[in-house]
Amino acid sequence: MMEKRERLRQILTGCESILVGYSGGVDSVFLARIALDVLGPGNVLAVTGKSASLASWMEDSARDVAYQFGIPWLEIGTDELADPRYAANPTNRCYFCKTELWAKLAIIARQHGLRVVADGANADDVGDHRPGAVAGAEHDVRSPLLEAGLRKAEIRTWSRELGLPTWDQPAAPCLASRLPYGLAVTPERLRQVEAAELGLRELGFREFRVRHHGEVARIEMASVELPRLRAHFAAVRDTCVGAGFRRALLDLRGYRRGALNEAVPAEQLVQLGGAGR
Amino acid sequence: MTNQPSGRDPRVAEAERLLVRYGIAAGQVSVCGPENEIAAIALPAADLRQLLDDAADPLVGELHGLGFRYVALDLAPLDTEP
Repeated sequence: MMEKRERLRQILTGCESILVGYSGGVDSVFLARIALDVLGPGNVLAVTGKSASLASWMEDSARDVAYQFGIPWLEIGTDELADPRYAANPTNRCYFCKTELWAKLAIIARQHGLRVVADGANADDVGDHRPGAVAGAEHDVRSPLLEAGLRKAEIRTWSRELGLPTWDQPAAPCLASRLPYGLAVTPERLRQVEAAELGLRELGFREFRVRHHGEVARIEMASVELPRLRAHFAAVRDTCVGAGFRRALLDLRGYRRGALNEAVPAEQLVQLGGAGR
Repeated sequence: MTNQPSGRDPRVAEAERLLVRYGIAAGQVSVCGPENEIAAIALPAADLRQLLDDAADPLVGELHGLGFRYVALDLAPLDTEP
């Protein structure tokens, strides 16, 4: 682990200055924080791309942590929903989203004289379905955490040592990931998912997803949440109905990260490669 | 298309027979979702917790075996007043 930490510091030193694509999640927050340590505030900028796909609690996390730790931070609007190729929600939807994001971030990096644009991909992402990584490669985006070989558990441990409140934050992909491929991404559907998940968060749930199936909310709950669920069946249902769904169903296989990718044919999977890609 | 009446999808009758075989006599199954991909199981309020135990895993597996991509518990009990 110490070797990886030193490797990360060396990688960041070599970058000289860096713009971090900053979602407010565990990895990008950690990367921005370490980059600040290594390069200083004049050579680091964390940028959050805001659209209807960004959950409000992630935006709050991004802003709050940046302010708390003195990370230079900027928020920009992104418009991936206006791209019909994205809105159609194909299995490579993330490619179009990240193309929009990295193109805008490249401009900002040039404007601020920052040499490198980076994302928070880590070594545990290798092998996952990551069409957004193709867009990253096309825009010369670096992945310092992946390059250093850092895994999620190590990032969480180091985050905790640094006092980052995100150290134990559950994985938080964008809201569009709640829609099955082929179901068009619309602002209304994203709003419904956000409202339902925000309501469940207010009930105390942390590890879950609300998947959008038209009129139906299919809820995936991690097994640790079942004791709370047993006391809140009606509240969970009412939350989803209040968000605009007609029915609220509990998936009996529970929460599975990347579950919607289970239905993707193997030939359509775009898997992230290892360090040195 | 979000709901099919019970009986139109041949999987529904077989799914309800499975519920009975596993000791859940009062359950009803409906098919929903844009691609009829979900088997939704409705139970009386007193029985909702039955399907949350690991003991229900074999039943859930068999229901998937009928061709449903998802098998889910309706959080609106059968005996909920409108």
